[in-house]
Amino acid sequence: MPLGNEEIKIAQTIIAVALAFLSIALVMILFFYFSRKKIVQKEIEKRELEVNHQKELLHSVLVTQEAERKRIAQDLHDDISSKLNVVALHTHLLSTPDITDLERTEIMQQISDLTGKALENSRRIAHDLLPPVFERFGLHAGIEELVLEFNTSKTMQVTYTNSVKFDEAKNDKLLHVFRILQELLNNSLRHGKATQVQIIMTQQNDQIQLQYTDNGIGFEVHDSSKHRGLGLKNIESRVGILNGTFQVESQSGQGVQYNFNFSIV
Amino acid sequence: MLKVLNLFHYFIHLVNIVLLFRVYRNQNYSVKVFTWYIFAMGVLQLWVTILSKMHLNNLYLSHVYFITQFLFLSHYFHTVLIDPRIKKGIRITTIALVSIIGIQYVIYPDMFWEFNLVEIYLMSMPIIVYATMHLYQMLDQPKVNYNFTLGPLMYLIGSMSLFLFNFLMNQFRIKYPADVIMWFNIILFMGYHLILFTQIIRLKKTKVCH
Ligand SMILES: Nc1ncnc2c1ncn2[C@@H]1O[C@H](COP(=O)(O)OP(=O)(O)OP(=O)(O)O)[C@@H](O)[C@H]1O
Ligand SMILES: [Mg+2]
Repeated sequence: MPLGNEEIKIAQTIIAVALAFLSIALVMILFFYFSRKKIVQKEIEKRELEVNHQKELLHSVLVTQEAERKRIAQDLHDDISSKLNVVALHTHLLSTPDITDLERTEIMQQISDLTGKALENSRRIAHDLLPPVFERFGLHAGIEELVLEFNTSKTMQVTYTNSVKFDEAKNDKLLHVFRILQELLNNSLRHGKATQVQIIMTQQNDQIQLQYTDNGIGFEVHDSSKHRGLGLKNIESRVGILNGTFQVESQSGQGVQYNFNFSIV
Repeated sequence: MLKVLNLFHYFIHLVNIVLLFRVYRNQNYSVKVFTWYIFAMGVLQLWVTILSKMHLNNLYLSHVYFITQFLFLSHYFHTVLIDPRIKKGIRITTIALVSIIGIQYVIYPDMFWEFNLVEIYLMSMPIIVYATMHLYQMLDQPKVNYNFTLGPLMYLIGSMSLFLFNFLMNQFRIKYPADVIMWFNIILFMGYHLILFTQIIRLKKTKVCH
């Protein structure tokens, strides 16, 4: 039975309207499909970035460890082994039968000098490895001593204010803070040629804020293409261990400012 | 009731226009385009109301309305979308569709005085696509005036569905109270302007530099 004019018209209408709705549905479906894909893609990229970052940090820890070992080995070799060598030689000389009393006292004197120097060096090396003031009197005293060391050198004036009471039972964590400050001060002196440094520590609830400012030449913080040393990477991993965050701000000519945020619990 | 709602929807439209112009100066180009779009829509609304109060034929204004909306929103999405291929697509689509509709009215001038469903579809669907593309873009790019995209998307899908539905009912000669469509239309329009409003008040706080 052939369709009437009316029926054809109705059929056309239905098809047209259905197609119009379908086109909207299609747009939405495409949107969901592609956005899901994009989100998954982003997630993967983010995770890869995280993993890479972790790898880098681990790498820097290992490299630092090696460098530290090398430095200790060198210190031991140059400052102690060499002196003890000479001491051994001198004691050997002492046992030769035909030496005068004068020679003997001279050799004894030298031995005593050398052992004194070796002793002093070994003390210095030990201090470098673990500052005794920090060990015995805690972070605050440790920082004060560190600041004093820099201040007596006269090239850089460091001011340090602290209103935080540190728990000495957490010294293993606080040592990271100490090391961070050590590295920052060294950087300010070596790279920044700073003459003024300010260290401020405050506490809000559990959060400790550490603000570090120098007035040196500053550097391009965001320029990662510029080779970064181990110092900043180590700071980053130490802050990571403390579950903290930090920002660096710097403008060339206006020094560097670091803001750390962490909690010691 | 319908009257009150009607008044309210004029009111919120006016509020949006005023708020947009108050922050106009320190906005970037895309917001300025959007501001003029909302303004033009307001003018057209007013025109429709005046004509209907004077009992004159105002059906032809629906063409003006849809074409103006299409041009403004195309331009808006052209400025906020980043991908150059999409931008090019928008330019081509705009020129092609406006020519098609222009030629149609040159050949059949009588159509200008009638309601035109194909035109509504052609003037709404591309905007729906652009808005969706913008949503997609904002998944990983910074969000630019999110609700200026969500609003038109919701409004255009709603109004298009409404027109198609109305058309279908008329074809089948099904009788239903004309108020229903009016109600839907006004609620849709108010929803649209409320969504825009939430974005506009946020505009005030942030000074956007470009
Ligand atoms: N306070 C500062 N002022 C100016 N430049 C700085 C400062 N701190 C760091 N920099 C710049 O950042 C770079 C990276 O510093 P970082 O401490 O990571 O490495 P380094 O000091 O060169 O080497 P390392 O610490 O491993 O001995 C430095 O080479 C320097 O150019
Ligand atoms: Mg360094």
